[in-house]
Amino acid sequence: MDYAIEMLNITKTFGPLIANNDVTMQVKKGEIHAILGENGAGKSTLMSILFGLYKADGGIIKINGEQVDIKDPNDANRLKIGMVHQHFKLVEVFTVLQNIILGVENTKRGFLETDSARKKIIELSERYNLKIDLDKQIRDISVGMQQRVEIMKMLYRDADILIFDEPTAVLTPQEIDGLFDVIRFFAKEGKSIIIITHKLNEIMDIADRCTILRKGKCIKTVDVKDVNAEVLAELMVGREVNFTVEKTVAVPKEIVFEVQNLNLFDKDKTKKILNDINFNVRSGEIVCVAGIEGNGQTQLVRAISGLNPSVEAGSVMILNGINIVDKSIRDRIELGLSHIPEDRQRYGLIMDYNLSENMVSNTYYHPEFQKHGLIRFDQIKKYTEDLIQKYDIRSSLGATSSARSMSGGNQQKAIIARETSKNHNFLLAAQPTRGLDVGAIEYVHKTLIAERDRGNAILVISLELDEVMNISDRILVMHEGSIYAELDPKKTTISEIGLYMSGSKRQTSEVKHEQV
Amino acid sequence: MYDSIVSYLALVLLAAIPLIVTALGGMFTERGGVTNISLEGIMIIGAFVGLVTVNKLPASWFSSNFVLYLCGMIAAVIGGLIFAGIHAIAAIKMKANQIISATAINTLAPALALFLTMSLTLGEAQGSDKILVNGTRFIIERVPLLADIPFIGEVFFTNVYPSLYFGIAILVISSIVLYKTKFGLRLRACGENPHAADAAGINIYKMRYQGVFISGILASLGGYFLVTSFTNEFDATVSGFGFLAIAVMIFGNWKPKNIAFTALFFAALLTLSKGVAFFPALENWLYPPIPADTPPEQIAFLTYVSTKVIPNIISMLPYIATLAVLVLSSKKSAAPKASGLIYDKGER
Amino acid sequence: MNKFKAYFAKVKQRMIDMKNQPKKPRDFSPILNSVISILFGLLVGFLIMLAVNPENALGGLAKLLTGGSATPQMMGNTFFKAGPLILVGLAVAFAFKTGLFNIGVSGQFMVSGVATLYVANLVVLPAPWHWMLAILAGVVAGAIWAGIPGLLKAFFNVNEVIATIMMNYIGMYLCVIMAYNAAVYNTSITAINAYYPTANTPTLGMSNLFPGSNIDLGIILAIIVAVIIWFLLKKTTLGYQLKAVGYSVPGSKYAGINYRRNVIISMMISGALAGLAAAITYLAVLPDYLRPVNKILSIGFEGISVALIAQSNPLGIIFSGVLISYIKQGALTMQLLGFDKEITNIVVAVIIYMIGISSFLGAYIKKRRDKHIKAHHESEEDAKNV
Repeated sequence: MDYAIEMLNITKTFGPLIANNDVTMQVKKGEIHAILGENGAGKSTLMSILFGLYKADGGIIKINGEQVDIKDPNDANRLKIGMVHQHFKLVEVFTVLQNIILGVENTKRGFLETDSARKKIIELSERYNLKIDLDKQIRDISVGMQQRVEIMKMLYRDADILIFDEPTAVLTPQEIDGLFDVIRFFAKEGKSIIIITHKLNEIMDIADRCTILRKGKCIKTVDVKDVNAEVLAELMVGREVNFTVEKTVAVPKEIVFEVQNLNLFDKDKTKKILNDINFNVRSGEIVCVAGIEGNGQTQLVRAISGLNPSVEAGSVMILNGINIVDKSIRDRIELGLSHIPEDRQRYGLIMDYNLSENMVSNTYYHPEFQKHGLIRFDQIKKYTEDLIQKYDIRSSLGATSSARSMSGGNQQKAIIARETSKNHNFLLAAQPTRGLDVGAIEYVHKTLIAERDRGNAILVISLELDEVMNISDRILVMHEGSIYAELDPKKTTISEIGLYMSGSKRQTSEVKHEQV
Repeated sequence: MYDSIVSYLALVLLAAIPLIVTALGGMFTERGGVTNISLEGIMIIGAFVGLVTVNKLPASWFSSNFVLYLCGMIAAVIGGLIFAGIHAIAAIKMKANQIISATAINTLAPALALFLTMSLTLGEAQGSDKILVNGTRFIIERVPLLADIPFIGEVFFTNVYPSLYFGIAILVISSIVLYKTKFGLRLRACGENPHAADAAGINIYKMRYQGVFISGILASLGGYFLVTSFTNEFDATVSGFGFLAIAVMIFGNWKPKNIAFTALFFAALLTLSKGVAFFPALENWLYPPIPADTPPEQIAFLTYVSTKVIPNIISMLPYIATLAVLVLSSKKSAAPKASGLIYDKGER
Repeated sequence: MNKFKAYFAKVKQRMIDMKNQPKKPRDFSPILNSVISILFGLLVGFLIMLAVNPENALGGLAKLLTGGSATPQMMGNTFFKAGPLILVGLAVAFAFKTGLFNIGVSGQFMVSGVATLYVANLVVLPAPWHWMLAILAGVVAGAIWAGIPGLLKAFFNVNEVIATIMMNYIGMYLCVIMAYNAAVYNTSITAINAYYPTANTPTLGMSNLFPGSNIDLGIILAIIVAVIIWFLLKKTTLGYQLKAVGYSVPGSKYAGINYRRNVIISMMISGALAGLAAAITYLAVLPDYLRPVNKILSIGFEGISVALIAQSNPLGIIFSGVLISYIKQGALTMQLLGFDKEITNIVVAVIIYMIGISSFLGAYIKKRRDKHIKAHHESEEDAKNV
């Protein structure tokens, strides 16, 4: 058999963690090969080894039948391996051109020479129909174009083996179709493609074969035409999974949280990030904000939570009848806000504090946890042990484990435990399932629905459309800082949401009211 | 007035050149992603090693003082490289807190210089911790032809120290290296987004070592330039010039041209207390003569004000200006994003 | 043969026990870190002495190591000088805990010294009240002087490292101006007047314990304050907040902790500690003189080393403060052999550096050890298979 890439018996450990355990994967020339696995299954590690970012502890790699040693990305480059990383590896303040040539620059008498590079890039972009703006800085171009720049980096280096790490996470359904067309064209030209993903329908759509990883181990390689999505899911998770979430019909009651005419500019006051946002969340319902990453969702969360207090004059946010625009973060928390942050390690936890100290990080000053300014450690410990029981939080030392030592899923459980146990009736959850495995995702979804059924108002920000469709009672679609649509999940489809997400369609305000 | 301006400008340039050179050193290390607040210590080492070299080498070995000056520069650079290396190993290889290792160097440099001055009796006299600086011997009196250009000839080509030309050359070369070469592009990438640079096949550690070493070269030269042209004696201090250079770099937004202008501004403030003497009218206004009919009990106080209070307030100005400047520039900073952050290949 | 088997089984069990033990957050003892760093610093100091003056090097080292306790007088002075060192160490460490690097302790110390001495010289009060007020003046001045960079950091995000360095120079010139004021300046000592019986800190009869030394209330005050600071950081809500800000600014903001207020409070307490150090220094019966000179005092930098050696542990600082004082006293006697006392700062610098890289070295040693254990484990497996 003619393999372009063979990764045989690859093993890689990070300290105590075994990221890849005896993984074998073979990719044929000209095929589109998917690697499927949950978060933490070892997909990215495997590809980083192929690309020379990490060195494997054991195993061999063959390219076109020849054993090779890939020590760094330069070796990968020489072997014509290119990679588009999940988090783009671009220098924000450099131009597109500078980013493409970085690392393979031409020089003339010691000085940088870019004319020949420019010519080559223009030729390539015409041939593959990849529109890019060479002289713009990365920070000024869209995420879609940034991805095209990453693809161009590979083409400029004449790569024959193209690795895409979760390439669709930042794209609308329509953009995804465009990307897949380009990828199919590459395959037709004889390039070998590897796509890392955890989305089953995409594999069914584009891949020829698929290798499934679970917990660092290679489970199986299958021909995609012989299987269906259910089989893939079972292989990925290791048990039968039901991706639909069971829940009763929502019974929304009074408005708990309301946003009126919310406007927000960026730091330099030049670009509007949030544009006249209006919506409300009622008790007993889950409202989901859908949208592509970077369309203002993060800033919306920061504005509501108070992390970014500099909203424009005239913006109104009412929580339980009180305008919180000028209130401090602590005041908002006291008024009933609970917040599961997007970045749980940066915001949600103080990583050097232990679990019990983290469980009271926004309530430590309450009388049950302090007396005359002295912390009541015994009370805090008791409280924490209670929550550990109730929420099944696992850690090596229980209440005294440092947050840093805990796994991602348990860190998230700890945050959820803290936020849903304190006094609150409005829960703001930003990408609450990001980076979690299927078991933990199910857990989070169940907790959110239980919160809803307890009569709390819930606002979820999510980038995963499947999640939005599954758990929401109402959907708000955001594009470029505005709400483009308000939809009922029972009456809409993913592709309709996609049209609003990309901004190619927008509801008028009358329609919005009719729909609700 | 014309002569006053020429004299003052010449003085400002004397102070500005060490600031520019050192701040450019800071720029290179930060652009590569390593902070280096040990510029002060490295300046001290450069000044110390360079001075001892020019003082101890027999003058008879050299055809001209300029060659001796060059030897001093080379020695200073070697000293600077060693100390920058100490910082680089801690900051890059050992992934230490960069401020702690720089603080160690800032403590070590003056202590070592003083210790060696005393132990090896390098000072003016036995038991003195002051090293004599005979800097005037390096002055270039006139550059033929160019000195005749009106004004420019007087400021730039008459009675100047070689450091002026080296400083300007370093400024020009730094700009070119940073913006027009492969090295500059790669270095900037390492300071902005090391992960991107890594993925592009650039050896982050190597680039960062180079950045820190350049800062060592430039800061030690800055120290050497400072003491040979700006002071009469050296007692293991550069009076906070290294820290001022960092402020210059920050306000200069890590860009060579802006650094040059900022340094001139700071130098103008730094030399103000001396420069006042060139402008009799200003001097009169700042230090009005004590009227003859002043009651004797007030004379002491007025003398105190004019000899102690006002000059020291003027001396404070550059430092107060630095704070003001930092407040103003805090909102809009173009600092390299990854500066001061440890890069660990193994982490994601 | 059975013996071997039993032995291997035992080793293996021990290995399993080791593996199953809950992992401690820090594997490499901080105290060991400090001790190794100190020894290494002394070694480097010795090597430099050896290079400069080989015959006297060993004698010099002996003096350096024993001078601080050679006589009861020296012993008393070691403790006397340790008081301010402990307090400046606490000042640096306290700011550290909130994630702030206060390099401006020297400036705060000088400004506080002026405030203290002005009260000592110009206010007329009976004994206990006079020195108490003078100390208070120093503490308040230090808090204000450190509070300014705190404000700048909190509201304008000005890097506190640069800001406190600038405040050092501004403070230094201010000190020159204030010291030359005829009302306090004493021309015979070219410093601010230092004779003010009612403002001297009491010696509490401790000089009987260490005859001939200057030991006074200062060291006791410093130890009490160290314990208070330890308690504050460990047990109070204020300490919880300050440390939370130090560990993670975004994390603490998210939790509703007021970042600005805590930064300012932290800097002010840090400055107050520096001020207290200045007060006990200048109010001693035989004090250091506060001279109007264009030089930043080194005390603030010594504070950094005191804090780092103790790795910012307030109780550890009591020991590291005494240690640095001890070495400095030793260096004074060492001067008789022709070595400059600057050797202490060289030793201190090396210690700081070693502490800075110790986590790397610790991790490195641990890795080597783990590899060793792993290799051992594997060879045992091999032995079993035979």
